[in-house]
Amino acid sequence: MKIATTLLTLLLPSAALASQIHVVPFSPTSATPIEVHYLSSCRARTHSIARDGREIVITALDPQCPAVLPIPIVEKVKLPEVLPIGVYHVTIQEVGGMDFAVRNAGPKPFELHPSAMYPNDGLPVRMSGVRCGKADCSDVTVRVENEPVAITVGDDGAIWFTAPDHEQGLVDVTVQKADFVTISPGALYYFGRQDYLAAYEPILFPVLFAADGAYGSRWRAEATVSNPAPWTVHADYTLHNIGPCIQDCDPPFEPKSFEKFLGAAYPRGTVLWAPRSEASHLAVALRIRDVSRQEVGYGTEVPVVRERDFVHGSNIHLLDVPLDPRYRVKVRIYMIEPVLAPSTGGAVRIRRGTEVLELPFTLTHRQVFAIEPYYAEVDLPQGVAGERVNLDISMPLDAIGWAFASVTNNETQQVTIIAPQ
Amino acid sequence: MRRVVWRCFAVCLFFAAPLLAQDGRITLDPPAPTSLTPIDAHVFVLCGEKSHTVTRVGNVIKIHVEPGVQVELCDPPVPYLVRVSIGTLPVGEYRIEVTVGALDSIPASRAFVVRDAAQRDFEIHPFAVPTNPFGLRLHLSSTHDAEVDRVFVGDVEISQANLTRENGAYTFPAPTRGRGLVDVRIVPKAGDSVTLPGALYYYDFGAPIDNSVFERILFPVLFQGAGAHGSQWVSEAAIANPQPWAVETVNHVFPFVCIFYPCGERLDPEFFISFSGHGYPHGIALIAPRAEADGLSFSLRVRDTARSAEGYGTQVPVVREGQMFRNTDLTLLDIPIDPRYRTKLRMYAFDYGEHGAYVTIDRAGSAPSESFFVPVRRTCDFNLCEAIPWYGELDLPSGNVDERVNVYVTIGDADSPAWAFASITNNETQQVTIVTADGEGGRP
Repeated sequence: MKIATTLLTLLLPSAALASQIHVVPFSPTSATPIEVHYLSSCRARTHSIARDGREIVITALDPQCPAVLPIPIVEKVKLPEVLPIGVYHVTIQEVGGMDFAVRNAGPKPFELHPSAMYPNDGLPVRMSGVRCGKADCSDVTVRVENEPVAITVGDDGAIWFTAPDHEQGLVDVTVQKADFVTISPGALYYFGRQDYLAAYEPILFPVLFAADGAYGSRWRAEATVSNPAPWTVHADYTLHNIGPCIQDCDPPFEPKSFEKFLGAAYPRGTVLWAPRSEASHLAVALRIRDVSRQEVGYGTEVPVVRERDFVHGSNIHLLDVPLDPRYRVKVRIYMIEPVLAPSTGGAVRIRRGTEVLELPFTLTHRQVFAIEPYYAEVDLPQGVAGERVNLDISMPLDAIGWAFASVTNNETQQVTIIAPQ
Repeated sequence: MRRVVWRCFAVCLFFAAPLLAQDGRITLDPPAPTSLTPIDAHVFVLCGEKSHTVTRVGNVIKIHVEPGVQVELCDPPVPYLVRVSIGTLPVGEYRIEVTVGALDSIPASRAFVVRDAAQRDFEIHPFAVPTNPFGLRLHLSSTHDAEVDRVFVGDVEISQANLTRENGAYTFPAPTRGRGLVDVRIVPKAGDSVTLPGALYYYDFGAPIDNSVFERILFPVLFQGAGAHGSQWVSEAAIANPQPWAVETVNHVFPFVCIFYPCGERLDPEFFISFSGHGYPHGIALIAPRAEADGLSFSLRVRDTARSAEGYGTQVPVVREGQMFRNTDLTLLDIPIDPRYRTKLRMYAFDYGEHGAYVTIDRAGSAPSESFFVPVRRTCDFNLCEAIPWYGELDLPSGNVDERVNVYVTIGDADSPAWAFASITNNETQQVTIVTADGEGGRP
């Protein structure tokens, strides 16, 4: 299964690139307003939106198209209502379409972990919040879309069952106790490869490497991941995966586990994809440290970037960045899927008095799979002692991006991180 | 029976006092609702809930909670969160009024605003405007560069002389108005007029802050002073407003000699200030309008200026409300307690009280975990209290060389936004490493 999962997700970026449409947020719920983004070369005056059940059709009205040189733009269309739980298909006339699932944001009679899986994953699912009358819960019947499933009871009283194979879509789960039936609508989400972003959340570790640097420095990154939950978290591209890997590349994070990952081969960062229902439970940390001078300090925390920390379609601002010649300053820029823009270029702009210095960059992707983000780095020019500037970083169209600057003292190798805040 | 009645009376009084005292006892999910978002009110009662009812009369939402029947078993009384589904509301100003049991005379209430979320052809910024705007300019833009003929804020027409076109957008001085939401009507030179419902919210500086309009952005340390081993600590902070419109905050966090209003609250377009913070070693929040807060940028570093040649200091996160934790323990992983370092844990919570925090230190291996109770306090004058977090700190006990621990913090009651970080300072070099809280799973 792991091989299949790996092979499926190998193709994620190309699939996402091929798509010119996505919904924001990537995993909408019955409480979230939804915006549809699509790539176009014409600016519509407005859009008409028609919904017939699970079918949504968006039509650009009075599009203004440049006659000579089409410049790609991203059109953003807000849906006029919050949608009920279900799987929907949105069609942009003359552009294309995509499916997306709207999950339940309302109160749930019980919790399921995990709650999203591939159609034939066969994952064990933990159900909590159900009170059994008998120790073995034989008085309780659990049904996944009307089909009873075999259950067992864990040490903590939680119910476990194996997710049955099922075609893609949202599935109700019911619990029957005597004549009393409770339903959790759309409680399990069987997703396909094209729905990967709806089911998994990216967590970016911006640097995870071990390397020797300037002035005798020996840099080591130390990452930690803790899964305090009593259930296993089956993430993709866990930090276990260092180097080429064919089978069992991503062992799951075991219940109540704490793992350390010392310097790996990701100087351009790596993305851990965690199931959305579990991502917030994981605790993560990352530090870089010059071990050749480890007696002088414990290193510098590098933010681990969760989805909410990325900017989406706007510039990134880093304030008060020194250009002091006693320091070397490197700006690292990241972009993750989905990528709508045909170009992956951007620029770091520095305003120094009346002069604006523009340092262009191109985000590149080193591998064909999603373990690494799109990445670029820019060394800032040296200024005068004590000089500080603000950086305005423009990103590709509608990019989901993040950036930080590292400021390294040439003598002491002390590193200061300046991240967007 | 008498005992039960007295206990019920005492419990109800105990319950009523905080309800009366704190608007924060009713919170909203989401905290800043729009016309598209279903709204849940979180109401805090003691001793549980038997049932509740919701009725809406105009813009007043009345919630009545029938407390749990077994009041005599409710000892000690523990706050209990009742989630009340209100559903979706149209754009407007609303008030929630809560009554509990038979005590209709002791209600709790809070006001909130529902903003427009529909896609419109025009946008106007900023959303939050003081009732006396003193020259604050509003910024009106069209998604299609439409030319504007006339603009009305409520029933006040903006004169043509005041309407200025800059970089494809129009700006004009905000008219003076009374507190509340107001529609803006735009008459384009071509096409039909467009009304932006509830496009502006006028607020009164003297009135309580509406948390559905404003959010708190925490600067965890703003101070300067001497430390151990000859260190001279300075907080170096910066604030920028890269947006093409001005943003008016409720307070300011940088030193500002004020003669005439605005006294540092107005962040003009392209505004930038860098400053050395002082006076708030236990943190302060910048109270900024939610509609504009995402567009503001910040920076904060602590730096030992006695050793300024060695490094540029350590970034301390400026924490937006969405980055704070609610209803969960805080987790800080892999914190060194090496004896060559001093490690201090700093904890923050808003809408809390002098309840204290519980800190658990989990050592690796079979060593037992240690727990500490840490008092939390705040010192504030009346006007600033909304901006000052409840704060507690703990010096972690030293361990062995290279020993590291995981730390779990319980702070804040239901729905209180909380945050924490640990600073690890080398006793010789004064290099500081920060470890911030992450993850909502709590302790394993």
